[in-house]
Amino acid sequence: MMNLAVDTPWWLAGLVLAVLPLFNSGIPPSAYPWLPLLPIDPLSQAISVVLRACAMATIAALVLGLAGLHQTEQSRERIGYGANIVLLLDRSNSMDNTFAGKTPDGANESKATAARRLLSDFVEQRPHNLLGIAEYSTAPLFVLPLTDNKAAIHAAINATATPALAYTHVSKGLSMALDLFKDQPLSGSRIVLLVSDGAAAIDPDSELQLRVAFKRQNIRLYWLFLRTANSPGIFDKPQDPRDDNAGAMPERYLHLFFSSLNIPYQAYQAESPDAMQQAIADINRLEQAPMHYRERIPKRDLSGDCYLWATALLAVLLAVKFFEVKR
Amino acid sequence: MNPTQIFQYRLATPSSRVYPGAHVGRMVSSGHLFKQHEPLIAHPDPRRIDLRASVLDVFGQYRVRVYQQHSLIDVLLLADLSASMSQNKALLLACLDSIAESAFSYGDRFSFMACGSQTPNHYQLKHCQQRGALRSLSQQLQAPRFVPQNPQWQAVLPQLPNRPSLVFLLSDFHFDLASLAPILPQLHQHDVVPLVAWQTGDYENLPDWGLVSFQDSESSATHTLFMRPALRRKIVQNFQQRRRHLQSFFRSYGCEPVFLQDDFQAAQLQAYFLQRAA
Repeated sequence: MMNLAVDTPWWLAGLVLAVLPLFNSGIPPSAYPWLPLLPIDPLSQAISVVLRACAMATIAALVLGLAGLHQTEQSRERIGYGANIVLLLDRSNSMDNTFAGKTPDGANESKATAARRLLSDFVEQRPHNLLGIAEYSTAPLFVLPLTDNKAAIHAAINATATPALAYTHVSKGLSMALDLFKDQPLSGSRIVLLVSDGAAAIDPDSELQLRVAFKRQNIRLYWLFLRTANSPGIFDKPQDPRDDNAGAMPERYLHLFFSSLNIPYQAYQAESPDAMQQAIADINRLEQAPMHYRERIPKRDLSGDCYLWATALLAVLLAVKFFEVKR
Repeated sequence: MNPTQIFQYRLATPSSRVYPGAHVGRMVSSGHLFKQHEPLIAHPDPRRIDLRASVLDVFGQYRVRVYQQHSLIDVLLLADLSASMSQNKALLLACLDSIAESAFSYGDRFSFMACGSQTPNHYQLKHCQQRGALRSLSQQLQAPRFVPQNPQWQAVLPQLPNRPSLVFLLSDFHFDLASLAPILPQLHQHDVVPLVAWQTGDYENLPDWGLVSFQDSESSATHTLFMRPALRRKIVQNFQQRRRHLQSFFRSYGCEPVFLQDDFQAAQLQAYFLQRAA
């Protein structure tokens, strides 16, 4: 299906000029006493018709080129394997530290760097998936809507190399990640991959909204928890029951909250880049369901092609001009 | 300027004109060729009484020798002045000059008529015996472009003399001969000489290779041809076929056409008339 459009439709009025070759063959005629004496030559007739067609096509191509012919943006339905994934990245300060909780040096990379590297590989392995990226810190950051544009995704992931921001406000981030799926006619599974190294308590209002949103959007949630050494893990139970509250152990309570959502949920607790790679490979393997997706074909400018054709046809006509003989 | 070439001609049948001239006629009067004896009462010229014949006459009447009188004839040039004849204009003028001069050399009367629906009437010369009128006609013909039209032979028929005359039909005959077919029988009493004026550039001198576009002089229709040796041969063949067709067409009406290629040669007409006399 070709959806053609032009930038300046007024130029199309010039297409009327394309009928000119019907009235003038372009070869200056020489007088002849009586045409019926000339034999009917099919080859000459064919050449005459082809020349006129060439001339008409040349004019039409020039006019279309001037009018700015282009193919409109299109989408094509395709079937692939994978999922629609929103990466929700933590941009809090602590992500710029290593897994040991130190400033990164040459030997140990920071959690953000490791996440960036591994997520880039992850994206590479999933060529047909739609990916969106949201980040959160004190406030959620809208980075990239769901797209299959690999260059944009890599750029967005690389953009996390900028120094991190302040705190961790996970509930706003989750809301934004869920919003990315809103009003998207998507098939296939929907995944939110939360990459964070900490958590925060979720206030009751947000909690209620998130519960509804997760259910409505039919989300599968993966939490890749990058645990810093000597910090509470998501599966740890406090030794002192008095510490068993959301304020003291937000990771554990966030995990409990996710588990209580009644959605497919999986948490990975990675304590090193290798463990993180393991977790991502695991997710990559799990999420290979067949899915429909629409591949978007961007607008394509055809005026260059038009000029190319016009040039080629003009070259033909010029060659023919040299082949003319005068009587 | 070269002196106009002239040629000798004669009619196939003796002239029946009363005016004395240079051609064998049917009139009996003074002349050099003895024709017959007649009674003195029928031809009262006592100078020509033949005594010997009178003595031998059984009725005892005086017999008078009568001689055949040479008479003049009318020479007509009917020219097709349609647009396709534009390229033959030099030929037309040379032909006009030569025929008129030849006629004047015999003392005959020359008439020129243009055959065309849109040809102005002043392209006419009637019973001309003076060079001045002829010259002004040639000058008139030199200037204008001929307009596209079909030759109207029918229109000139009433203006033709009703005595046998020498009629030249000058045209390229690049038209449907069906328009000429009803005319020729009406010219049967005249001695008709069709002069076919063709330019070799139209068929023999075409290029071997290349693209040419031809525009019909009459209808303005154009025709693009991709010239190549085979096509050129075919065109030449077409013209040869047309030539044979014209020959057989005119022969069926008792006249032999003369093909004038590129320019007018009086010698060609001279040869034509000599051949006919033989």
